[in-house]
Amino acid sequence: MRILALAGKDLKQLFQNKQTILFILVMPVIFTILFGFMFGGTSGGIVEDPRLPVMVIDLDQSAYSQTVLDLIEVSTAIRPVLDEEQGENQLRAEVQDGHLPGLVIIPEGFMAQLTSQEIPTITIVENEDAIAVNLIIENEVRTAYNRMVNAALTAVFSQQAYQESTNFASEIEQQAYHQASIELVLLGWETPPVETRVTKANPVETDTAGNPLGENAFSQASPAMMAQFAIAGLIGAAEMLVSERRSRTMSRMLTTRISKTGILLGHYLAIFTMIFLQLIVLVLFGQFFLKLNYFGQPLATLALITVTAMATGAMGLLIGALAKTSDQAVILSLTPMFIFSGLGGAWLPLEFTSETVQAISKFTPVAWTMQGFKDVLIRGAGLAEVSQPLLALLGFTVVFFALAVWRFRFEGE
Amino acid sequence: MKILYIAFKDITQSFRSFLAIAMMFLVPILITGMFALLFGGGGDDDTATIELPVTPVQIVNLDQGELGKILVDLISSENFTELLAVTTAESADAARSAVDDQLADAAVIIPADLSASLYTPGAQSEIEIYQDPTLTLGPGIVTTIITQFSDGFSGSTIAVEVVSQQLTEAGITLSREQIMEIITQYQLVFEDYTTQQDALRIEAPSGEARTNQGVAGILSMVMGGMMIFYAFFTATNAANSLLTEEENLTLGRMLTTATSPVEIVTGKLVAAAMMVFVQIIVLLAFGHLAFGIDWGKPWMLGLFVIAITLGAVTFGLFAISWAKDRKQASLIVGAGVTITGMLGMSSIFMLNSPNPSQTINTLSLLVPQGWANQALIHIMDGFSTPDALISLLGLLVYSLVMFTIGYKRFMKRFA
Repeated sequence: MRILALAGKDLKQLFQNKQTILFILVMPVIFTILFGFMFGGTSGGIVEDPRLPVMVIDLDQSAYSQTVLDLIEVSTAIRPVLDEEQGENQLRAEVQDGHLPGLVIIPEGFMAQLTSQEIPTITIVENEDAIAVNLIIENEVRTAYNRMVNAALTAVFSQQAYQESTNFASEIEQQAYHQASIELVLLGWETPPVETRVTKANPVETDTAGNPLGENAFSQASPAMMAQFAIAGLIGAAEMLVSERRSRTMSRMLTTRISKTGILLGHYLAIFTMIFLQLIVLVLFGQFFLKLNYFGQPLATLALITVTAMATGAMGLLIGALAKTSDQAVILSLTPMFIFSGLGGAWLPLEFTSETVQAISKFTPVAWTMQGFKDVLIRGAGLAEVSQPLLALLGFTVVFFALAVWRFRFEGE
Repeated sequence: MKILYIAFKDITQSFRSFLAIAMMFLVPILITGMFALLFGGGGDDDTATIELPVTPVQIVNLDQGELGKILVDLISSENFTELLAVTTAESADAARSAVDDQLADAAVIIPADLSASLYTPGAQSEIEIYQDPTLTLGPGIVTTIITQFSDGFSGSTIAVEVVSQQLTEAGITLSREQIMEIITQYQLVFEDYTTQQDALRIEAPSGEARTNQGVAGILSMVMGGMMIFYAFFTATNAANSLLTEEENLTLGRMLTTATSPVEIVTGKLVAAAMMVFVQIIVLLAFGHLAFGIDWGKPWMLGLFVIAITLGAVTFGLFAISWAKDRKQASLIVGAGVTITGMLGMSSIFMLNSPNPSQTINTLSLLVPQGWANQALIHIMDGFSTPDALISLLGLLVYSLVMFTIGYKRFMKRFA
């Protein structure tokens, strides 16, 4: 009962502080929306064409360059947008600023070179830091280029074979024959003999509007901000513990009938409850406003919320145990927030990082929270399938809690 | 002279605070260092490239002919060992299970009729890539390789079919030898085209050719963004000392001396400017020495340092002028600076976005950090001087507006 009374007092104190509310609820909501929009999320908005818009400067203005555009147009990942007014320099600046994913320049003489079996060069201008986007654009343009080369070569070979038997009656007939070859090849590419089909393992039905990769853009941002701001919320809790110790409130509490264990558990229960409520609100926000499918696996979601709150709460207790001043409480909260969020995949999906980082990430609770929630949201994983993240987070809870108990001082210095 | 005394006192006080030092120098360096670790680069090696993880792939070859074997040999070849770790599965179900169990990022299932489809007119065959839905990069690489392969074979089949069809329509019949000759010739020439480096030229926006991604480029963006973010944090925190002095009643005491409100506010601004200036210089030097970042032309960088110092200091004055007490000020320092800072840095976060939001890009210029970020990117990437100057001018205009409003509000408050 005393533990509950202490936890109740802590919670009242924490929620009376506007800064706590700001850090645990307002900021994660704002940042989830911000990051979601950055990654193409529209939260249910209607997007006419979610493919990556790639600007094209066609300096050749030929039938061949038009064919390349047509071939890019059938891509499911990028869509060509012909530049009509901005000019190359302006478009390059837009790529650099990240306003435009990429720019494709078809050179003058493209058709003439292909017809004479020379190799024309298509230029792709990319922002060199956008790894995933570059991969998509290069793949799609290369595919279109190869198919165009295929069409041009076929036309040349067909013409040569024809001319080995007979001659064209006129240049017009020859051109018509050539054009027919190109059209037949393009027709052939509509149903090629060998196709590549990409299927995803157990995809969850979700709102993917606005994302050419076919994912809800918030399925990364939502768990990421939940994990990051759960740690950010510890600042207030740790400051509260420091304040109680420095003002000797804890020493006074020890003169009452509450035990040291009771004080620790009471504080821990308060921090756990605060984070638990924070995660519940953020999950509800994700479910109803961001159209994520947390409720697809309610038990797995609830279990992940619980163990994430347990692990982060234990971390908060540890920070409160280590910090001697308010400044230290801030530093000791922000430092693990930055390190765990960065290494745990909250800022950048771990698949973009090296194997070394992926291995290190296993030692951060954020990585397991992210994996668990992403498995629920994208894979539709149930309770059994998220057992690994659940166990790992329980392990972090035990370690942090043990360290906190070991280092906790009740008397102020 | 009084202005300098006030500034000196504030600077001394700030540099004695570990929290201030951490926020000014340690956190931006820590975050940039972490990104260096994330991308497997850093140091003064500006040629370091991003270390892509090896993608575990399961492959199952159900093809009865030769083509499936060629494909297995291709993706298991030494050419791809740095990108793919290929394991042969016994069946399609086993390969899919490996992906389901997260033992592989993708499974390549070669169908039984792959070879047959190339020699049977009108036949179609499908190579399936079954991928982990939570991943993009690794399965994307696998898809690229398989698509290039399947397109190569489809292309030669389409070529033969089209040539045969056109000649048949013209009343010319090709012998088997002639068809084989066309296939051989086609494949030779096609290979020439597609393996030539000249076919696609990948350029950076500045026009320089690029063959792979550099770590220094990403680190410069991250460190630049962090530097701007924390410069605004430092300045706002420094401006907060006006309210601290007000609440501690030291401001009232100062005003009983022959020190005017103008001198007090100016002294605080000078202190903030000095701190931001030192912070920026230290971070620029550290970024160059530790991470090999090339920050661009020195004279343009000099203008940037002046502009961001003014921008950050006037932002701090403006932001704190709206706070009634220190509680409100700490909300502004915590939330206001963080939200405007992140918005200003949005172009950095959106670098790997599959669909970067134009709205967010436009919104980023509603905050001074957005102009500062845009200016630094233009300077670093060697853009034309007018582009960078326009961004710097945007920041200066912002500074002027923020200074006018912030200064007037404080003068009114202390009147």
